[in-house]
Amino acid sequence: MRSAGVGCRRWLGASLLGTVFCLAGPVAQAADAGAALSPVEWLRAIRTAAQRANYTGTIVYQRGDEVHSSHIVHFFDGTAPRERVLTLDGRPREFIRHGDEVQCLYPKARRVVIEQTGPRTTFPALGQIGLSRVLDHYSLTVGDVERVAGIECRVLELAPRDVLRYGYRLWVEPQSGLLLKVQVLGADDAMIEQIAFSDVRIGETVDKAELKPSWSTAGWQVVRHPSHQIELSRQGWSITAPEGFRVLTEVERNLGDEPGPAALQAVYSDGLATVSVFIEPGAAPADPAPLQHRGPWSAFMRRVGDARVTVVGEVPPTTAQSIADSVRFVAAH
Amino acid sequence: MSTTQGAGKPVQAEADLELLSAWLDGELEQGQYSAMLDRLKVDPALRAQFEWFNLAGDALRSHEVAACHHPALVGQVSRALQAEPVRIGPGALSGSRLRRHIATGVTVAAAAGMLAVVALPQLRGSYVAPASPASVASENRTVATVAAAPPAAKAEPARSPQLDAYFRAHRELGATGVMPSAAAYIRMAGEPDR
Repeated sequence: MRSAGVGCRRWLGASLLGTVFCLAGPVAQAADAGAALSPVEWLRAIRTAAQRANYTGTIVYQRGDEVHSSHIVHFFDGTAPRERVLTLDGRPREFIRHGDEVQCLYPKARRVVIEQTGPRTTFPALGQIGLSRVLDHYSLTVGDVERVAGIECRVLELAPRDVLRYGYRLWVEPQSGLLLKVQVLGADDAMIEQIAFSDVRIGETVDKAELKPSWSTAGWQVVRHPSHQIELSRQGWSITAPEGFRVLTEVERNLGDEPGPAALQAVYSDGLATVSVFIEPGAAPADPAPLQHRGPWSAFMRRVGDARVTVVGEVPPTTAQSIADSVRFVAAH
Repeated sequence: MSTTQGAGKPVQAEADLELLSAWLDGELEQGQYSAMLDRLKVDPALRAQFEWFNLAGDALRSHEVAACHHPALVGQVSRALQAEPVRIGPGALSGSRLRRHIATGVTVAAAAGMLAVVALPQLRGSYVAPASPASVASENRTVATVAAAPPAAKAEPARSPQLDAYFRAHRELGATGVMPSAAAYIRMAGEPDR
């Protein structure tokens, strides 16, 4: 672990000038102590920033040869995060978050899809799984200082302790704790997916007008996906997740945008990676064509009795397969 | 007209192929040219053969165009590559124009077969996972896989609408992994409208 990087000297210099500005952020307090935050403190700082930092910028997303840019405005109003994401290439669309609810605007289709995401979507399950438990399955190494979007960031490596998960490389803005760049890493540290700010302004006042949609949605079709909590075990289903994965939620829901048979969905997480198990009793047999991976997601499908079981998650294919293979119908209670 | 329509490229009577080949080369008299045009309008099998020739030409000129227009081309030419006897050689090329086209067809098939393996996955963002023990497709299971992790430099298979609903539902409740929350939606930029 480096004791003093470029970013740290920046904070040290500031303190020598008699200002406490550099000590205001969650990470900066320990910055001139030399990146001396414990791994849990790093994760806590990142989690806090993901929820509470105010920022505006351009994010570039890359997966294979696919590259997309989006403009993002993120604002914490004191009780809940508010956010607006505008795609800058491809089809125009916007995603507007207020707390747990996200409105997905598709202007060409004149449709608004409303999703209830839940608080776990913000640097997801760190709060629910427990920071220290995350480190049971990933080792965190503090690396050098590198610039992202013109800002010096501390590089953190989260390496999986087994082959059940992917690794992550994080670039953290030290004063705010905000992630400015994230890479998902496969075997041999090969990059599977990357998201990075190309420009960002952190901590500035956000004009609330920037959180409003670009279009009037009057007359647009509104689609909701209602779901309700269930207990899979009470319906006779048993799932054994790999070590470190804990269930976050179990719901019954409609999968498509049109009315249809309900599916059961259980979501598991180890604090960083998440996996969904979908169970559809009576569904048509699985498509015999090979399914696929998309960037970090793997998908595995099989039948259990008359039910179609599909596992989707940001895990290696073998992990998705092992979870799908563990699904059993025992007996309804 | 005697034709068979198999799983691969259309199979046409040899005389018709000869005529079509000449027509494509612009070597027919005006009357024959018009007659072939008329036949193409009413004969689906002959038109299918004509389109196959064009697609094969597209494949040579532009793999991307061919794949966009005819996604099954890759499979067709791969099968054609296996089925067609190799006729490349001075003797094979002598004689009829048809043989020349067949030789071209083999070349096309070889080129397109290669593009199926090498070029298309990159051009179309599709990575065809090699067969491996982890790639299981038994009677009650199908797996999307690479052996350990998707190679970073390789793109993924063409998007399956069947899986879109699962990915969306997972994103909705399953969060974004280590990514910022907005990543869930930024990742969707390349997806079709809902």
